[in-house]
Amino acid sequence: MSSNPKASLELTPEEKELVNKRKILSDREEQLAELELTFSTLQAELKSFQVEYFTRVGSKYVEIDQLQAQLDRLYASRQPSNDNAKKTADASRERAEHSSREADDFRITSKKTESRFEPSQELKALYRELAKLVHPDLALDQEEKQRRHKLMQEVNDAYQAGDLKRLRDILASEKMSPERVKGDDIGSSLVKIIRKIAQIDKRIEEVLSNIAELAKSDMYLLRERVKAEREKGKDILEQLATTLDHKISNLKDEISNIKSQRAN
Amino acid sequence: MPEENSKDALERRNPEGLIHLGGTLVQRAIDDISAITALQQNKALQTKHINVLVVDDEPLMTEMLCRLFREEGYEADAAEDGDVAVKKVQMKEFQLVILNIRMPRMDGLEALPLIKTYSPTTKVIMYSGNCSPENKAKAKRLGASASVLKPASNAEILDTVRKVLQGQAT
Repeated sequence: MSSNPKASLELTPEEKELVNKRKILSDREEQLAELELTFSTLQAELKSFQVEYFTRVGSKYVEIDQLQAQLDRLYASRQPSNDNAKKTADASRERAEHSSREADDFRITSKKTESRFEPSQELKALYRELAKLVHPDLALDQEEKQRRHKLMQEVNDAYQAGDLKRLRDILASEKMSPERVKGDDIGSSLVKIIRKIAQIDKRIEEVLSNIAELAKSDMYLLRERVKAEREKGKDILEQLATTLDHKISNLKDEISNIKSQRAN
Repeated sequence: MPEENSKDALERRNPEGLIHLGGTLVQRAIDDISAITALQQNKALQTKHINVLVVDDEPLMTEMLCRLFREEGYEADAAEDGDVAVKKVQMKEFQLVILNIRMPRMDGLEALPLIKTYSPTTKVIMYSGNCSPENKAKAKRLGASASVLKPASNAEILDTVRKVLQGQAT
């Protein structure tokens, strides 16, 4: 509350409304920045988790499928008149091809994601500040919106890459932007603020639904399972990898047995 | 057919750079992890609060067996001969005793009837290098549930323990 009640009495109704709306806008800006931060963090964490998952476990499934396909092909070639053996071999081959295509997708992400994502407090704080300053949904004209959209993407990339310097540079140059020093009368300021609030509300809905989309994905589910086991002191990915290694070694043995039978 | 896995196609599908939300490789890992954790939980439930007493005059043997049982989730304790084993059974409830035959002071075949007297529900497995048909028959008469020839693999020991605890004939 103001220490001088007279001062607030002197405000016109439009001015009072402007003060109220500015407060609402500022709260919404905070809320949106926090949500964008959550979303960007979750994206980066999932990306680095999927690299870890693929390196330690996913690639072993691909190897198992390839070995299984090789084994079934050997069985089928030994019994050319057995239709079931041929069908099994075809199904195994398709499965191996499918896994291999999925593996390619993982390999591309692995190249783009270097290490475990652990954002510092400073990185997060810079992101929040920039999200409030350059968010595309705070722009009123189309041209500015497009400029900010690109800028926001840059902010997200720099954040997910942990690039503090880049974030600082963007912040410094944006603070100097002529956008920040435009003056307006009360009426048009009020209209602008009301529109900004509406745009922010729309974006908040979008980000919430994006977060929900990520949170119901299998990758998220898998990460949560791994995290929960890790908190109990168990490395479940390691246990799974050991099980898969065992399968791989059994398949290799079976293949070399068949090959040696053929040679005899 | 166009190459579906080209980098461009991937970027189009994932404009924000997040690649995999799922797929069969992820689904299989979730299923396998569920199977592994279910198996572990099941094992922990089965072995929780089962006290095993390992009786052998060879400290290395008791130490090795106790570690094996603990790794499987059992509570394990050791006794160096039949006399100590009988005293321990009087003081604490054991669901299972692993009993060597040849030991100083009181051997396994002397201790067995005493253990069964003090604790009739305790199952006893004879674990000895001296599992002659006579000794096996005598142990069975005195109430042993099974006899295992020493040395046996961990798998054989655990398998016999599970069967005995489940009341299956071995």
